[in-house]
Amino acid sequence: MDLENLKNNWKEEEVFAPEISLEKQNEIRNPLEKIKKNIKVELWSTLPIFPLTLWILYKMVEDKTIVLFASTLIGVMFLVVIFYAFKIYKFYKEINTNSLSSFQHILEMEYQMKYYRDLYQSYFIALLPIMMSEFFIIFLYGRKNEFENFESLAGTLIISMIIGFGLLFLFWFIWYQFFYGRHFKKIKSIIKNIK
Amino acid sequence: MPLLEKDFLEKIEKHKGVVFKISKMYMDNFDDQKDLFQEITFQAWKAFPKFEGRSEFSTWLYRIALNTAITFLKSEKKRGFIENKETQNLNIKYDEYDEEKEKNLQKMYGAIHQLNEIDKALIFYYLQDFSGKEMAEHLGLSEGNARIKLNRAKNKLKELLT
Repeated sequence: MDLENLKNNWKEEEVFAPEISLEKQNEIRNPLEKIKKNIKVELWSTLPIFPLTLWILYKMVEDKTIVLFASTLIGVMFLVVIFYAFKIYKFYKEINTNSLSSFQHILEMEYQMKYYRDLYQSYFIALLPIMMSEFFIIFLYGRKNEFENFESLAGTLIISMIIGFGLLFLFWFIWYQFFYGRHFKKIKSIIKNIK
Repeated sequence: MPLLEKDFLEKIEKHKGVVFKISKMYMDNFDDQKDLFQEITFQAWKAFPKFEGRSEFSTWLYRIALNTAITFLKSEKKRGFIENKETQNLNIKYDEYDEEKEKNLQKMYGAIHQLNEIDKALIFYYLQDFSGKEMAEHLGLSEGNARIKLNRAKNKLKELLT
């Protein structure tokens, strides 16, 4: 088929477009908006961890000084979540870049996606030491955990730390690739094609 | 109806056919095409208060349509193939049905679907008779680069059509 014929066919094609609606669709179909939504959902879904950890703490640890210390850590963790929620909502104002050139539009989108990715990664890293500390407190001062000597305690702690960190990172990596990485891949491939 | 909305609807009504053709170029099933069409009209409506009339409305609209289409994701919901019949019913007037033309159009869209997002945009500008300079401006490329990319996209399309 000749391209000039194609052009004529294109121009002559009569299509019956659907009714115009000025409403936003329910399903999100834009990579940047998907990332924003996923991060917001993840932030808010962290909240049930606080009462749950407090409950485990009061049930498992007898020493009230340790419980108080661990509760303070949970308070710090809560502040970290609030801080990141604030950062995300502050940046969440809509920036409409659709009327820019395609290249500028894509670059702007990539920039915003990178901002959210960095925010998300630093959020995870900020929570990690607090979560690990809580785990150690419950592990060390829990009612049923009694160790014969320092060596067995240190050995158990080190092994559980290595396995714990490893599993946490593996889980996070798979999670990140599924919910975030594939959107980055799409944008990167578009940038590669436009350059 | 507020004046701005009325003005927008009147303007977009004249070009909705071309906007739907863009949706057809980027999405291969009717539900996704409808969704993309709705997203484009929504994005255009959101940007409309900032439209200053420095270019034609159609040119401005096509730019928004393509920028939306380039990053639009296919639905993750499974689509039933029965719905494809709906596409055919809606796209063709029975009394004007030309089997060969329809076959050519289907072949054309089938080939376009295999191009990448940027090549689709270049082919759209080509089909709409935009000059190399205009294409370059809309895509944010140099004129020379736009022409080279257009030639490559046309060659790919020719190969896919043979």
